[in-house]
Amino acid sequence: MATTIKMPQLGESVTEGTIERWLVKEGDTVEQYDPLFEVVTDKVNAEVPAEVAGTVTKIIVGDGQTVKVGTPLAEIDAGDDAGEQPASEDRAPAQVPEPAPAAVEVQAPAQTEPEAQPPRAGTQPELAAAAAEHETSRVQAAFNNGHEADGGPPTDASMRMTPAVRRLVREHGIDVARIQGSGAAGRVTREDVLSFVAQYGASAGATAPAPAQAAPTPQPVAQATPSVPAPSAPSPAPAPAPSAPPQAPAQTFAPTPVPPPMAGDTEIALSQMRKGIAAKMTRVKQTVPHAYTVVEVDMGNVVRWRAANTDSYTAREGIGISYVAVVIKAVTETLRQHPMVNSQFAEDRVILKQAMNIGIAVAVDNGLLVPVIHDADQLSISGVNRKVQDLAARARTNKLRLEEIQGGTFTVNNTGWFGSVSSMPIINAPEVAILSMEAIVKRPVVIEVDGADVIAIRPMMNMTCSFDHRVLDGAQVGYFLADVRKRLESWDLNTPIG
Amino acid sequence: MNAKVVTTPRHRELGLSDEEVLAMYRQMLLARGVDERMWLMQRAGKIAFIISGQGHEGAQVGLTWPMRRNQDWLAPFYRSIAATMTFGMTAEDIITAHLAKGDDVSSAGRQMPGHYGARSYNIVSVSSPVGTQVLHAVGIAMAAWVRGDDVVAITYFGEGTSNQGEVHEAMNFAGVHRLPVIFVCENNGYAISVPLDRQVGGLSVAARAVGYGFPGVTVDGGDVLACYAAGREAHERARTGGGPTLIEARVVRLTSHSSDDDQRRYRDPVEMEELKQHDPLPLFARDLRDLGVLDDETDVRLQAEVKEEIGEASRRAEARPDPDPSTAERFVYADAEAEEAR
Amino acid sequence: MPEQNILEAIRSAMDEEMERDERVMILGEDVGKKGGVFGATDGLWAKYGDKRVLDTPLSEGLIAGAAAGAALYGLRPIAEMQFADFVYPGFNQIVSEISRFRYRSNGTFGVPLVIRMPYGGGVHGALYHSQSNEAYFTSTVGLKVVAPGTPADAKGLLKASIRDPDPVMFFEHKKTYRLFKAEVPDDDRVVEIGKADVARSGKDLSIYCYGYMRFCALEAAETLAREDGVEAEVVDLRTLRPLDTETILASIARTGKALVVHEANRFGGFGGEVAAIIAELGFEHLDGPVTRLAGPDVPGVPFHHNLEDWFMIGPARIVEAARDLAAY
Repeated sequence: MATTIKMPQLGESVTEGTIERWLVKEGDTVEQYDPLFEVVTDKVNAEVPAEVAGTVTKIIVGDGQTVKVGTPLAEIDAGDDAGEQPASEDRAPAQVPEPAPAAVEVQAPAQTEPEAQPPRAGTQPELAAAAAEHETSRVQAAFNNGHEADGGPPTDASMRMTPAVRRLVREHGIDVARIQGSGAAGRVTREDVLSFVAQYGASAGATAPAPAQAAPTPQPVAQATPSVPAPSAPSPAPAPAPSAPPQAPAQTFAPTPVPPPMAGDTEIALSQMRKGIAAKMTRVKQTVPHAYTVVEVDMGNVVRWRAANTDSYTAREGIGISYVAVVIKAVTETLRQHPMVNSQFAEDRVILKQAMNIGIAVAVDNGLLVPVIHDADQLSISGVNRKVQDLAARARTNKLRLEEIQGGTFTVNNTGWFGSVSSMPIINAPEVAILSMEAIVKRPVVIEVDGADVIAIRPMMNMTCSFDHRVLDGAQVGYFLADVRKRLESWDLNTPIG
Repeated sequence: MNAKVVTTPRHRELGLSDEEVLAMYRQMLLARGVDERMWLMQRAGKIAFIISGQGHEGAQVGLTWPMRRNQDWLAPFYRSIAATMTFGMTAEDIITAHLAKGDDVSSAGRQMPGHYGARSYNIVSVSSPVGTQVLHAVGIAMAAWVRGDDVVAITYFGEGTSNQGEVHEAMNFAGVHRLPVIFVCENNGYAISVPLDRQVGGLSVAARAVGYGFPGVTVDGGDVLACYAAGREAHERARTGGGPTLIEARVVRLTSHSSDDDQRRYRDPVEMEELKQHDPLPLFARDLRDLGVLDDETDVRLQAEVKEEIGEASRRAEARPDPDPSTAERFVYADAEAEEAR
Repeated sequence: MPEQNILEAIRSAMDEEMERDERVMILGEDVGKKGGVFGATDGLWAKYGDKRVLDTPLSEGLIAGAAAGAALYGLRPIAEMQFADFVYPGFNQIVSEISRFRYRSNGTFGVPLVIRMPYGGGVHGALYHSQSNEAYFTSTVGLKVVAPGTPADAKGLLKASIRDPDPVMFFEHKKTYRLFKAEVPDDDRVVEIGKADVARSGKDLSIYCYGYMRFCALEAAETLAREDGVEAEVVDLRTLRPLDTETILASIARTGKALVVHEANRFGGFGGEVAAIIAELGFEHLDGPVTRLAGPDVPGVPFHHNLEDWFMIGPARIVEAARDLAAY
């Protein structure tokens, strides 16, 4: 059987060698360890011996040639059964390193079966697997046996959170139970939290508009004229929330049983957004006592102002003037005088928010997002207007940035665009109030002209304010709404758009 | 007929003037005075620890005298009070170091007493693992040799330390390249409590030199002028490319190893009494009187001067500020500012 | 830019520094005429002569101690330990003296030397030619410890080390000496000591490594990306002391998962320091346990290639450990 003689690796980190000269020729017979050829490398010059006895049948690489370690150089026919496995197991040194009392040269003994430099790929995984058990796993096993198993990933995804996950849910005010975990054993990973936040916002699942009431009369009615303070007169607010302090954790109730689907029914899996909305709405409704106040606003002056400015504005900016922007400006100005309406309830105290970050509810595919206009009070009408357009557009195309869905202190909900004249929005907790602006409808109303009652046709818009009755009372909200209404009704034709 | 043979006084033969030998004597007085003062301060609780050099002064002053201040280098050890003072350290420097004051030139209070050092005097900072300084001296000599500078390094160590492997490595290397270094072994017969016959196989440290290829000489540490002569010859040899010399100075350790040691536990009382005969101070004083250089009046004057100098130095040293812990993290690595200033 | 392997880059650095600053000298066993047992100083003795490329006797204590003395005097010695495994006779000088001179003299003495240490296994060198003993030195205050993984870094860091006013232990993994070639600036570029390098960016986990492990980790990262879609960030520490804590923490903030890799044995190894820093200072970013992949706790690399392969960490082992961590 033929044995192939390959270029040996004669020194550590040597990668090639040059055949100085062959000491045998084709047809020669050799004994085991007879010298075959002289080789020159950049570290060592040596004679290389035959691994096996036999006949040199072929010389592949000739004198003077330089080849890489491992290149076949010659063939030796060992005859019948001589030399099955060449001395690859006992690596006979071609050059015995000089015995050294201290320093030994690195030129290791020549190997007759050289291998390329990085670890032998084939054997490594086996050896790695066969390797002594990692000390860590031994220690881990012992520890786990003596303690609750918490070496592996948490099994109860909602309970076990890594520091990163804990921090992120805390920073973004997320209920981690709502997040689907993609980690081992269903663990909510950092990535899961970040994706969730990016998609649905910090206080995800903002208020959805409540179903519109059939009757135009909103319930309850709190009609306050600006000049009439409503001190002790009990405001016809709805039954106030129980005076007992609200429970800190949301009380969860067993869901209503639903009969199994029947033929023809279609099941729709809940999207991540839908789950978020469902969870949030449920929680807010269960923990925040809502009360409602409605006012009617004569938008005549606003309409006129808008008509007068639209053309020039559109020519300048390329977009129209949205009523939402006008209402937001009126609201921010009014909030300055009613700071309690721009606050947050924190169980044992109320935090008045300095900033005026107005959220606007935007309907998106199968869901809802509430991007926030930060510091809306510091923007001109045009500034707010542009922001409204931009945020709405990007909300629909899912291009909002994280900071744009966080930090809201009050929300304005435009329900009017689809014709609603009355709605009872769910508060965007942790805010304490939300305002919906209904459709502007031309109606016959009674106005006073020169002391006499006359009927006029006016564009009327209802505004409903849902409020957290733990913080606000009907009168406060009444005053607030009255002031907003006053601003809108006395809108100056010369109001600069900015 | 009476022929009177006029011989040159020994010191003059060595090229030393009367003033110079008196200066050497004064230096020894000062070193001894500082040493004694610090024992007193230690026993009085002002200094935590002292490891003194009483009995070594003759050898140290004599051997160091030929060295050139601020040009040559010293790598001493903890008994080298007299040597370091001969090379530039003041009484105040020594006492301040023992008090571990914050502006102590050796270490700003970071090291124990006896760990002298001063960049400004070319004195290598002393550490506690004995013998390491011998390699440093050799390294300095090597550097001077590499650069072709006219520098001689001298290093001091005890006979116990001479058995550290590094000392052998240092001497061997110095011999190979004939480096400009002087090895001074102050053999006082005891390495703490271990006597010479348990310390040095051949009983002579100087005898090892031949194995390294350079001369080894033994001198009597009580004969200051003999020490000076040996030191001068070694210095000359080093300076002119003749290579190293190993000088074994036979001295006496008049005190215990340190303030934490009581040699009465292991030394023969008769032997200790006998030591006083070898105290280099009175021996040198006697030599100087024989040479007509020293008289009672001068002796008294010198002693008084020294006493006053030490008193003044102590006062100033004690008045210095203690180290501030807020500076304790400084100079682990080079301080960019300080490096700029250098 | 020329391409060099790590050994050539090291040689270039020494050559350039010796030319630039006549205070720089080399000393060690066989560094002169022979050019070093690895060839690191090849050609330098012929160029600079006997006094600047000095063959010392076989005494590591001498090599370290004389280098210290020369540095005190004002030279910039580069001491070569023939193998890191043989540094121990010089350990006294390195730890008792060299690391402490500046502190104990309150800044008046400094020891601007470099001790070059060929370390690491995978070269059939067995217990006494394969040690990774950097941990003795990383835990010695007063030393700087550097371990480059590329030719450019080797050259730039050696230059920086030679110019540094403090003692630097310069660890050269011998398996990387001729392992690969890469671009090396042929100008006077210095790589700052104390700065890690993000060799590869990734978002799924951070692999902290140095020396030969950089090479292996990068290969492992390619495999992970290709086969598992896992993007590993490879942080090559480059300097072990002082450690670039800022880069280490910035990486964990990005990925949340840390895998610290070194060839030296696990218990008491340098990886513990890195892991502790990450756990202590990067706690809020952790999305998985801080994990070490390190050499087994045996007193050295055994000789037979089966045993050596069992010992050595390579790309496959890193892939395996990274996979586990990524899946957490």
